[in-house]
Amino acid sequence: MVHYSDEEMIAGLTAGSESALSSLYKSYFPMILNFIQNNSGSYDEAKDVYQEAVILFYEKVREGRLELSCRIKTYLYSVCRRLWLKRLSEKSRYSGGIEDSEKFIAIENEEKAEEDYENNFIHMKAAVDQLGEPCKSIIQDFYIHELSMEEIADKFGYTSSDNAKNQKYKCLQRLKKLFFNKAR
Amino acid sequence: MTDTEKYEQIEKYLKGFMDSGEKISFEEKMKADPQFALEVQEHQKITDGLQSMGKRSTLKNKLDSIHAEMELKKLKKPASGIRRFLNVDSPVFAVAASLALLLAITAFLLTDHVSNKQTSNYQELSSKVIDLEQDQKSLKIQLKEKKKSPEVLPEKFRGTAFAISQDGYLITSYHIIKGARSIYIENGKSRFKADLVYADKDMAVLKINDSTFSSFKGLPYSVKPKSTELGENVFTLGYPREDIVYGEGSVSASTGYEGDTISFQVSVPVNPGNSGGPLFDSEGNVIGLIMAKHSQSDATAFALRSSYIMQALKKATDEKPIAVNKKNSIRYLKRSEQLKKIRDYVFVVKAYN
Repeated sequence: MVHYSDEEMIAGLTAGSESALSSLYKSYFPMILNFIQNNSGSYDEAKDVYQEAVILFYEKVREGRLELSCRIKTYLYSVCRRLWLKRLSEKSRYSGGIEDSEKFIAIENEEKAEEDYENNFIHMKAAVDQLGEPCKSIIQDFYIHELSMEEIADKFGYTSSDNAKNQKYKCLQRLKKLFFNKAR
Repeated sequence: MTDTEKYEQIEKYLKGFMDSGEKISFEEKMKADPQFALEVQEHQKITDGLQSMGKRSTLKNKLDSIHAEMELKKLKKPASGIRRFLNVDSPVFAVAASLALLLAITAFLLTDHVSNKQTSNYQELSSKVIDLEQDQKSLKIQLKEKKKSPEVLPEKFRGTAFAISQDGYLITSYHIIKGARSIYIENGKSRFKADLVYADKDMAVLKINDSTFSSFKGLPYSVKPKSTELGENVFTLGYPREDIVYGEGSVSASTGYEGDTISFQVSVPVNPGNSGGPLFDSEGNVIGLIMAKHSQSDATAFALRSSYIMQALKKATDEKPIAVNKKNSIRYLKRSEQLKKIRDYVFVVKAYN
């Protein structure tokens, strides 16, 4: 495993380096695992929380939205800590005390922006889920898995890619209705 | 202009595929018609949102495979002094362990394994084998290994795996071998050690790592990324028990559990141990991987699509791409003859801790 300094890591992640992402992930998981398990969490919960934090961190770096004023280690720990606190309070397992093994920073001022960002995701996912079949699959196949219209026509049994295209746009209309009605 | 033509235009504009003339007149149209401009905006929001969803889902998959790699490396940590002294990795020890395992298997429990998916109707199909610790102690071997791995699996799991390339690549279900220290594949004819090479969702790619293996020449089935048709006849081979079991049925739905699009539903009878096994069409092409069954019905199972498998295989290695077998030599044989050829390439997969 290549060892990166924080600056090299950010540069690598920004450039989309898989090796940087892999190194980042493997470097800090043990610390988070330790933290979560010491605060009444399981291995799987640690993995979940950690991945959520890495995803948030990675997306911020890639989109140039990251303002890092501390070490990556501290940042990830702080995000995980906040996520875990939220989960604990939802589970009402929160006894009021959290055992910290690392320094952390307050990231409350970022919370609102992040919440909005996340809400968009949740709305989109909910709208897509509500689509039902075959729309959900068609939309996902075209816009997410990036299948071609021919492949989609073949997969769903449409006689031509034009028919598939028409169906796709009908589905998109439905999705728009679902998504924008929710947000309004 | 029909709706379809309108959307095609909007997408062309948003993707930047319009030439400057087209672009100018399109933008004028937006200025003149605020309703239309809103439509364009909404379309962009939706497509951007879908793309972000897709990116995140890809990222999550990447993280899962990094995690799997990490777990695997942890388990492969060099042996402590005592382990080396006792020559635990020697063939003699392996034989002794196999004998102990055989004893345990005669009394193993086909218990249901509650999956982490935590959906009550979805049941993964790996069978648990009785903890070997008692037998190991009776062999008077104390393995004082300091386990740094966070997840300790006292149980061993078992399922099915099948070959997909001549040079020793196989496919199975990830949940069977997750966290295993060592993996072995076995059928009536042979037993090989295998390594986990790649995992994606619940699919795992194994490669044989055993000096007694030469090749899977004569692999008779191909992996076909074709779409499945409702009502199509299908069959499976697997190891829900020590002996190979044949099951047949048809494609009952084109989506999997709760509308999952990368899997589909079949009416083949399956049991714990069938996980990771191949699903064939009537010609003997692999069209899916058996993943799970509906917990309230033994004859409702879910298979991961071969198109998904093929996509995942492309990402499985950094170096030479896996040469998935494309030749089908059993297309016109009758079923019992097909099975005779196929069964040599379908194995029990055993995960040891």
